[in-house]
Amino acid sequence: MAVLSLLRARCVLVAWLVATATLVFGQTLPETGRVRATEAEVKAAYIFNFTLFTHWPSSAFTSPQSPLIIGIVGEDPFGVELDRIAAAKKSQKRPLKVVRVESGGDPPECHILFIAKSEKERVEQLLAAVKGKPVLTVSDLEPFCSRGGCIRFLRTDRTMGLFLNPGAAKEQKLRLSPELLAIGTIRRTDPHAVVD
Amino acid sequence: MRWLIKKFDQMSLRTKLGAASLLPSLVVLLVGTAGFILYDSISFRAVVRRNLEANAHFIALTSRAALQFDTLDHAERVIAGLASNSDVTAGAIYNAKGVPVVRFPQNRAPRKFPTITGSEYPEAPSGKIWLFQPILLEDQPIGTVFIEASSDRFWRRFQILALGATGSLLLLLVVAHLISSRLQRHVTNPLSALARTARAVSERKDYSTRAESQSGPEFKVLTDAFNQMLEQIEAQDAELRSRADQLQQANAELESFTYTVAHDLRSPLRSLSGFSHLLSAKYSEALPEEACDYLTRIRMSAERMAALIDDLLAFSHLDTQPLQRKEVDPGTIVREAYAEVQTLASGRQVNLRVQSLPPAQADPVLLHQVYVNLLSNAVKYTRPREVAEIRVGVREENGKPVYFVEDNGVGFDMRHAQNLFRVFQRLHSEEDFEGTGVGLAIVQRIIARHGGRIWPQAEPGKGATFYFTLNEK
Repeated sequence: MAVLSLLRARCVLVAWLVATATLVFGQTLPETGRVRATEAEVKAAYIFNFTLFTHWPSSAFTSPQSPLIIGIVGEDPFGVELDRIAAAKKSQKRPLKVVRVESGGDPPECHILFIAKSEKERVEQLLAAVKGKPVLTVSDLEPFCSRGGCIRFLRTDRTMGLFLNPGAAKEQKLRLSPELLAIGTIRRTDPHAVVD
Repeated sequence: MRWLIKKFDQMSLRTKLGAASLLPSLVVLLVGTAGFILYDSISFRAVVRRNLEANAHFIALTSRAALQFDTLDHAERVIAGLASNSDVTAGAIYNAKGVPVVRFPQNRAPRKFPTITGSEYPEAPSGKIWLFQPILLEDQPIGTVFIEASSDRFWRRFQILALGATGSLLLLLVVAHLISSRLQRHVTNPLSALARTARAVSERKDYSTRAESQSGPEFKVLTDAFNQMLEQIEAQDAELRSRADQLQQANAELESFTYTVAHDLRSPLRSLSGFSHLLSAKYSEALPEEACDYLTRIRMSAERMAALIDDLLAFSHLDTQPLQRKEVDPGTIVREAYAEVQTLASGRQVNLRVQSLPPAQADPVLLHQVYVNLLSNAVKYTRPREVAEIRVGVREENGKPVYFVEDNGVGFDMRHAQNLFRVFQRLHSEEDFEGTGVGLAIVQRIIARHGGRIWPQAEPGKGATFYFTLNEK
């Protein structure tokens, strides 16, 4: 318990620090080389950024004011970061809402579905569950794009990878912006491929 | 301006024509070219600026995702594209905090890029153009594109244009000058030829010269009129010459005739006078008193006629003798002349007063004759006066000496003054005052030959004054 509470205290401290830094610098993305951003922070920012460069059909929303829902299946890697962004920002003039589903659960009603590492064995099942729906599927698992996922990204301290499957996005009735396509690596759906 | 116009007036016709045709074109070309260059430099600057703006806008659009996802290598590729634009010297993408995270050229230090805070952008230094384009994502600024261009190119373009314009202007002027001088020759050459002919005519007095006929209606009229004038002058000149010759010949004939007549008349007169004298001397006792009286009358008439003929001869001689002009002392001449006429005044009281007279340029013999005639008249016409007063002197009029001989004689009516100087014209009868009527005519002729004038001033019963000048012309 003592260890746990200590851990939690550390988490809170980090969160506080990050929040302070964000308040001070007011940035979406942590700045390279100046404030060392946490992986969770970067990943959360990526999820938010994807919403900026993706076009959903209006039928995907019940009303012009209805929120853009970010669904997470499995173990959440973002910590408080995604909630912080969702609370502070809007995307496409819509409020953001984060919905979490425990590992093994069905994908929720959402516009972005993040498939966590814990769902490695269920990727195809989850993708099939949202197939044809206006849901942007995002994951940091590999293979993902070749399985029919829309965006796979990896981000460590040193590397940054962004793999995009515009064909898959089209099947989800979505359109990835050319700006986004310009900075990522384009992949196609290929059921036989072992890697993206 | 007035100075320029004065200068222009002094130019030759050829230069004037050249200036008149070239100057307006030069002014028009200069103003036009200057206007064109000005317009071009303004529009070119605007075009370059729009081009840069389009560039910046494009970079802003294509770098949004890169900036958002922090994939700066992509943004670097975008901004490296600026290298293809030779005007651009630098470029950068600033993040939302105003840090130039992507730079072109890459090795340029971030601190060498302008500092921006929010949406306030600094002014470009001279010689450079700075363009800032905010990068917006969902209406939120996420960064700024910066492009720096050198305005050297404007100056270079201006220089090239100005140089080209000046060069072509000069070339055009040379061509225009060649063409206009070629054409002007057709205007100036006929006029110059006419001017040369006119000068030749006036210098050599050769009226047989003719101007060459010229093409072109105005020049044809001008040369034809000029030639016609020359023809008329030539004809009139020839006529004048022949008339002068005729006149001279007639004059000479008249002179020799007068001389011959006078000479031939003298010998019978001498016989008449001589024999009538002999007759009265030898046979005065045999003849009745009345016949003697008649003889005396015959003799006196003959003597008077001889005197008349002598005067006439002297008068006609005046024109044939050349004028011997030299410096003379009029005072001496007056005294000598008076000595000659003094016999006329014998037995009378005549007061002659001679003022001091300045030296004069005259023929001494003829001037002597002038004073002899004027003084003898003065002595003669003062005869009724108990005391005759004769004054000889000089006074100045308009800077020239005017000589005069004044008397207190009988004078005359000024109405008859114009007849005084004609030959044989007399105002008094022979019975009152003897004379031939030639004296004043001789005086007038001598004065005229000296280039002077003579005029009287008189009143009946109050005397007369004769004024004359010498060398007036």
